[in-house]
Amino acid sequence: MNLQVERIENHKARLTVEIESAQFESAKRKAARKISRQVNIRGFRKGKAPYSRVAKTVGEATIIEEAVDGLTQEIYRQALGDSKVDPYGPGDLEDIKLDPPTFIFTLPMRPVVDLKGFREVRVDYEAPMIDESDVDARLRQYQIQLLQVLDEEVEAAQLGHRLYIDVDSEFLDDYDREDADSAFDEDADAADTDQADVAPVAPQKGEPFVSEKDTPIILDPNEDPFVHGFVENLVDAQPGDDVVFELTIPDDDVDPTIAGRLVEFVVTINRIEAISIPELDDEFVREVSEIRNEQVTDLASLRTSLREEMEREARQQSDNEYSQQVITKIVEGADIHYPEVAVEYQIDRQLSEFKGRIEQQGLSFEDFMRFTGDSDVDLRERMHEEAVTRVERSLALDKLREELGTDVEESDIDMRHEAFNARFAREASDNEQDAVLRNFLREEVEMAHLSAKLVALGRDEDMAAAIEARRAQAALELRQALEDLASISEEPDADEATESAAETDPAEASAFDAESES
Amino acid sequence: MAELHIYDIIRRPVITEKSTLIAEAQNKYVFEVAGKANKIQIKEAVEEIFDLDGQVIKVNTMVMPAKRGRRGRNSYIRSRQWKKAVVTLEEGVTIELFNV
Repeated sequence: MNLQVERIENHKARLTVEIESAQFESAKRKAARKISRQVNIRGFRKGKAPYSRVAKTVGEATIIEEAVDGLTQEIYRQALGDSKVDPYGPGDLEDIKLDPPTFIFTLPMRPVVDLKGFREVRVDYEAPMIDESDVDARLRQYQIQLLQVLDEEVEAAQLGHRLYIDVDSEFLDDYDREDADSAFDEDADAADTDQADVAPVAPQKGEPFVSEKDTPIILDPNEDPFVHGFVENLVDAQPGDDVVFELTIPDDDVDPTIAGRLVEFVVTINRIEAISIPELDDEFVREVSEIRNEQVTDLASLRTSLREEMEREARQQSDNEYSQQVITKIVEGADIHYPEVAVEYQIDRQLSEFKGRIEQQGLSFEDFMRFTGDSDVDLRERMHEEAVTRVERSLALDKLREELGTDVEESDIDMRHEAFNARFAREASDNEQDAVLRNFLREEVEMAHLSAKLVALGRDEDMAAAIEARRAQAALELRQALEDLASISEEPDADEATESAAETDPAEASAFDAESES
Repeated sequence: MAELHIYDIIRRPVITEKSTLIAEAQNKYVFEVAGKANKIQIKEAVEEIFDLDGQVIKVNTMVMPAKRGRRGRNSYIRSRQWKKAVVTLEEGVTIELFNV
């Protein structure tokens, strides 16, 4: 066997394999025998006709085709082994030549990632800020959660009432493109064509601004849900009324395509309720702390606790975003080569996720495609860009995991495992399910550690310290989960607990039985 | 009686499992021939058609009986009677038609 390997574009390899004529000839004979077993040839029993008769009956080409089918797998496997090419996916038979018998395969090669100087990558970091107004907003959410309905059928809406409304709206003016363009031009000197890609699509006259069904709003001028002035227009409205009014979106709106534009609202009032929003008193603090499952007695400590929680959440979110920024920067500087088929696989995955999402909404994918008038090809094309980003990121991440090494210890997984069991009131066991779970948790811990390392890398901090911080956080989560579990098992009355526990976990139920008997 | 043309004598080669076998193993070639053709005529015709120079050693002939079928009272001929000739050639001489 004579083998030639060449690298071709698109990170693929071409294997040109020339085989011995004798090998091809014997494959042809074997193929003819196989065909003669399937085809009726006059004068011969099945499988007994000689080569020449088979060739005369079915044609030489058929025999060659059959022989190639049989040989391809064998030759490909052998050539792959000899060529030392690391394949990423199945290869294709590109061409066959008969004289001398030559097989030409192309196959995608495994991606190659060079992260270059990724250790030098730094990204500016801005710590998230939580101020008192954020805490106020969170408290306000609890107030709304705990509000009491005094009267469900109020005749006319007044400030302080809660309304259930349907909202339809449309833009009354056309988007003034020049204004917006000049706004963009201030930012960049790039070519106009580039700008067209970046500019968000502006809604045209007649297009909807917001559309909501049976949405609750509280008539409070400080809490305008859509545009300033919305709430005032609903005062004195009665159930069943259609209130129509126009409002202008403020010029300083974050979205330049809608800033300063005129919108007509049509609001249908479904129901008006008189409500009482609880004061920020001790009773409120007690109820909130019950919901939050913590021991807080006064408003100041509740505020502190909320603040800490929000800071933790904000930090976590900003760390997530930050690590994404770091990866993006690493990918930008890296040298990544991968075959197109990797993107195709990724698009397949995205497409099946997308189908899943559509079907979850109770719509069949075929119907969806009919509504949108898109073809499969259009959809794939649209997903292409995102798929490329995802492939590059995931390749870079894999390489990063390799470069930075893993420092996940069994104790890390134990901790997560215990927290998981506590959270779902599961009994620890030694079965297969647990092994799967531990694998899953290992993956999760690895990703968490990697993310922590990337955050440390981008900020030029010590990675080991970041991992320790992450471990401390996991320990905290475990403690919290255990506390929650303890408080749940303390709370319920004997009878109720037995019933509810019996539904969830037989082992726990028997524990409760034993308790009530004693 | 008008003399038979060589292509009237040799009607077709008989290519079956058995004929292929004896062609390979014994260098014997089977033909369907005219019912009235004799062994000498067959020998000459084969030598003429396949361009053989006195290399036919032996010709055996046989009349293959007609196959009859019956459907109720009626009988009919399923395949007619024909004459088969098995021509033995000298060792090393082959006929292209039977080349396997």
